[in-house]
Amino acid sequence: MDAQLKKGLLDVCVLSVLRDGESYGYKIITDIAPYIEVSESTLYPILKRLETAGALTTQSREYNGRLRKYYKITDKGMQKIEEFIENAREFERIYQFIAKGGIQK
Amino acid sequence: MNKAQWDKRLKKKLSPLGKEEKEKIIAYYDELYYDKKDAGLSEEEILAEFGTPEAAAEKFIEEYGGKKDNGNPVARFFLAATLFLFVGIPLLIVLLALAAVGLAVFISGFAVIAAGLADFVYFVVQMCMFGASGAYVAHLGIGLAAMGVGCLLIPPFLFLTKKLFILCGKLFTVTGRYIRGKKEGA
Repeated sequence: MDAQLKKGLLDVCVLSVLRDGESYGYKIITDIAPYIEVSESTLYPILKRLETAGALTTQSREYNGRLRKYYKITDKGMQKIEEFIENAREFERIYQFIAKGGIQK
Repeated sequence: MNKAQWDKRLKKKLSPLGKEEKEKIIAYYDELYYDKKDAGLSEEEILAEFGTPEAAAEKFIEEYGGKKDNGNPVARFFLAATLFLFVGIPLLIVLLALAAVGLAVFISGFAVIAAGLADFVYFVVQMCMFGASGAYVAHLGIGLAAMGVGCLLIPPFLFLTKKLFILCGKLFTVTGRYIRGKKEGA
């Protein structure tokens, strides 16, 4: 898949995982992994980027005697998912057009 | 490779990023490591999943280190100026002095050749005028004259050498005082 496209998709995948409630690094990776390839080193920049964009907030909490960083989606993050779905619908129409081989008579 | 070694290698490769960012990334990997450990993975398996620290670091740097931090251009200029002033100029002086010495040696070589030729001519002339013994006596004269000049030159050269050493000493004292003064001022 195109790297730029994958990057954009990963952002939304992370957000959509968080829509079901706050989560942490390892869980996000295992939740996404079946659908899209993601590595530890790819996830970190995504989380950072989303946090900077205000799409999620972070909170470090103790778990099993160590610190774990939890990520929580914000309204802005929810909005990003909505935007993506809208874009995807448009994309779907274009896809249909291309897949059918252009203008149908 | 164990986790500690992996961390160390990652840290080394992340040095272009700030200290804070570096610590955040290490903490991120720590958390993942222990979560994977809790999930039943072995240290070896986890590190294999993480990949090499070099590859991971490259991704981080690509992501936001992208452009190498060149720092403030003004600061860089001052650094360059300071380096030039305290390293470049002294180095230049030493190099110039060495070049001057080299040139002097080169020229003195010609002087020696000229002296040799002159001596040869002188010797031939003396031979013709007074025979072999006469020429030897005349040469003895040259030797004695050279010794005399050498003896005469000893005091001025001693004087110059002494002055040079005193000058060097003063230079060190002044530099030392300057550095100390700067430190006290800071």
